[in-house]
Amino acid sequence: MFSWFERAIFRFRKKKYSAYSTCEPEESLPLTGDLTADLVSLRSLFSNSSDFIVRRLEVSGVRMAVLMCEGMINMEMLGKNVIHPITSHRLEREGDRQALLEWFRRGSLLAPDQQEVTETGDLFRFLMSGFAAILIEGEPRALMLGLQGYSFRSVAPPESEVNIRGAHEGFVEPIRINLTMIRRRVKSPKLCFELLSGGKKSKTDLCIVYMTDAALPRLVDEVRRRLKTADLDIILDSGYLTPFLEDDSGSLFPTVGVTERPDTLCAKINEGRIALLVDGTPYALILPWFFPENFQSLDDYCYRPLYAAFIRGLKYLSFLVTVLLPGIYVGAATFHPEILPPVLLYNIASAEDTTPFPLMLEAILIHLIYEIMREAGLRLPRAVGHAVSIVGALVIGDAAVTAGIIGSPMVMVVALTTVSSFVVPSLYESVTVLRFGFILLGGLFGFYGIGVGLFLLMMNICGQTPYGIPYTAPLSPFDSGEMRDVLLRMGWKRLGKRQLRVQRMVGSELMGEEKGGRME
Amino acid sequence: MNAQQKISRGQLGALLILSGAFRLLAQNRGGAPAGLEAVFLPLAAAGIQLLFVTVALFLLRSREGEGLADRICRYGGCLPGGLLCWLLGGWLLLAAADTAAQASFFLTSAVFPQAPALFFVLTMVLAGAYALRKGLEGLCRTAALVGAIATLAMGVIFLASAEHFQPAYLSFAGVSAGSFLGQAFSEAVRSPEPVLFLLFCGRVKGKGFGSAVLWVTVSGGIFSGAALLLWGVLGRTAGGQLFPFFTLTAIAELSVFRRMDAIYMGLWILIGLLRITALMLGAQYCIGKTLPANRESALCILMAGSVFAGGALLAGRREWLLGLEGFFRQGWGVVFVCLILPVIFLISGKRKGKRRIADE
Repeated sequence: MFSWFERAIFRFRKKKYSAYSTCEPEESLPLTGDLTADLVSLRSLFSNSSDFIVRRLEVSGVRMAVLMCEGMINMEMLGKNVIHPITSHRLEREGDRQALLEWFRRGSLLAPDQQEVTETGDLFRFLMSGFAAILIEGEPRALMLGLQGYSFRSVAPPESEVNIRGAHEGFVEPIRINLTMIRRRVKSPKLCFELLSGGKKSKTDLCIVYMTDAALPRLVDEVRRRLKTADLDIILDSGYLTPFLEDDSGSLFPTVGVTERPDTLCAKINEGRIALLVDGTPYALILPWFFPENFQSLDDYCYRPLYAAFIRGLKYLSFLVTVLLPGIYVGAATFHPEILPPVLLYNIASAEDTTPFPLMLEAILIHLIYEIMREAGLRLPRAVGHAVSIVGALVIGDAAVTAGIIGSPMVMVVALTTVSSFVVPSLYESVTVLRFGFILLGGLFGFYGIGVGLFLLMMNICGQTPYGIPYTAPLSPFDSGEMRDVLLRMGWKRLGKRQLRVQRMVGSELMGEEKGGRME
Repeated sequence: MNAQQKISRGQLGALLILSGAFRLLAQNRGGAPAGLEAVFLPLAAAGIQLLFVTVALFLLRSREGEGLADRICRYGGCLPGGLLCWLLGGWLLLAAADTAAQASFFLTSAVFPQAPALFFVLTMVLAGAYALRKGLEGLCRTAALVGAIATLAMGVIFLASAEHFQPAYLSFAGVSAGSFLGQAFSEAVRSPEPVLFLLFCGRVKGKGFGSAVLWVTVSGGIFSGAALLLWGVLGRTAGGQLFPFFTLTAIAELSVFRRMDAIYMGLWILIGLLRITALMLGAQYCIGKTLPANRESALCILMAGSVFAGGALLAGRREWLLGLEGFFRQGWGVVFVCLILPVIFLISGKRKGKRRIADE
């Protein structure tokens, strides 16, 4: 009985899948040349979708059809450059479709990109990318005209990587525009764009970007191999692919970099890295990505070296403060008060006397309130978000202290911690989780817990080897040559002396595969 | 991208120096020389360790990329080699259990008197097991970072205790040369670092002699400097303290920070965890050679379970700990691995060679 039930479910699933799969371009058929039959076949492929537009025309006795997807085409260009020339053209011999096709092929239609396809699946993909198709009665092929005119966000300053002196151009959603932004910056024949497609249903355009004279072919192959393992139906964002490109999903910190800036991408690919652009995402993925890179920003390279080095040091300090300060504060005040100066100890003790919660609970509570406020401020419309921020500041900063729920030294610690967490925005997610972990360790086990937590954290960071290169390079394994752009940022005269290549970093498995590779 | 990675000399050196530094922070068992002899003792012990390691490297005729466990399996054959690997692995696990028990003894006697010793053993072993999964490369990279932190912390402790430094405390205690050498020998052979070096040196580029010189020289210098600070600040009272370095940090003051013992404790934990992981990793290298491949998880559980069992037995039993210390002081493990084992392999290798010539 159960086997019958399973079979029934299986049949039902199969049926359901086949209903969806009518939209799958995998069911591609060759164009027959019979206009009516081809249009029926295409309508079926589109599941009679209402955005699939067919306009039938007749030119000097030749029947033809212009196909397009609504909203994907620039209608003004279509009218001016395609429909008008076609309708005003007269053939020497009535019904000579070969002459009409030749006329099209000679470039009489002003579309920058023209292709010919012979399969309905290919035609479908082109239509989805903003092409118009021309089918001629009797011709088993379609002429595709690139007349993209869909609306998209214009190029704007990057929101997540704000800078002062560098370029104010960030990536946008359409992949082609992002490619032009890269090409404009690197006018080198060595710059290579490799277009792929990902997602069984979405057929999202992906583009691997690298410099052929900098990136190791083995590294590029590895990225291609990993992308092939991404067995997803739909890819809507670069984040869908990140887990497939990472080495170890247990890593607390990102081993695949993300950037919104074309200039950052250009700098990274010149170091032998691979970038991946995903259509519909204004962020590019960069791999391999190392821990010290989270502390670099484009502005560092615009400032004078001394100030840039100071900023770099500040970022490392902020990272330590944001991860460890609340835990150390809770641990010291709970288990090791003897290390605190007497005046500070007295202040903490008098503030804590008025609050009902233990210090650890207080720290967790206030951080949770802060995270709720932050999340609410982020998701709400901007005007309401500001209101939430004000309420948050009042609740946390004043009301909670006045009500005796939390002590004022804790407010100071939380304020310093949260402000520090924004100094290194790329590590925000990781440090938020870690902060809670260290508060728990400090509150339950004092400095012993923090010591063990620190060891585990260091092991987690140091144990990563993305794409065969140590994640902590060049800090550990130490490379004095490459340290010129880690804790300090040397001047451009020194930075420009020898170009960094990821495969040449100390401890890299890829070392020696390239001429000029060196081993410590 | 899974080729066996190489580690650098500096990284291995940092791991072994920090592993050895655990002795510096551990409890005082008495019997150690006082005054300037204590300052020179680490240097003499380092010289003896270098001699041992050099002899072992020379006699074992190591090939590049080959560690001690590989050599034991290559020379020893299936059964004797396997037995030797298990014996060596067991010895290293015992040392790891001793480390965990020592750490828990320190924490329960000096920092958390009410806490159960077993808790510290358990958490340290669990942290060690996690680190074990990350492998030697991850451990060595962590050691390099901990080394940087330790240098900074030692600098702070040195600055904080500099005002208490009394050169007058530093004088020769009048120990005879024979007794001094005996103590230096005992100091050299009681720590398992030479064995760890021979196990891990296969992963360092080159044949390992340069790494040995670097590790032994730097560790000798550091331990000697630490002894100088300890005896210069505490004088004769250093000999009577259970944790002399802890006492030193407790009296040190720097600006608004009243005591340095919290820094000491943080350092102690990091160093202790590094040492436990290094010893477990060494044992895993030895025992793993005798087991089928792809048994990492099972092996990791075996290592962690054994160390926890040993640590749980030793924790809170000071007499047992002292007894074990006596066993390690006799130095059978180091002497066997660095001197007896290479000689056996040398002789058996020559016999095999002669037999092969006779057969031909």
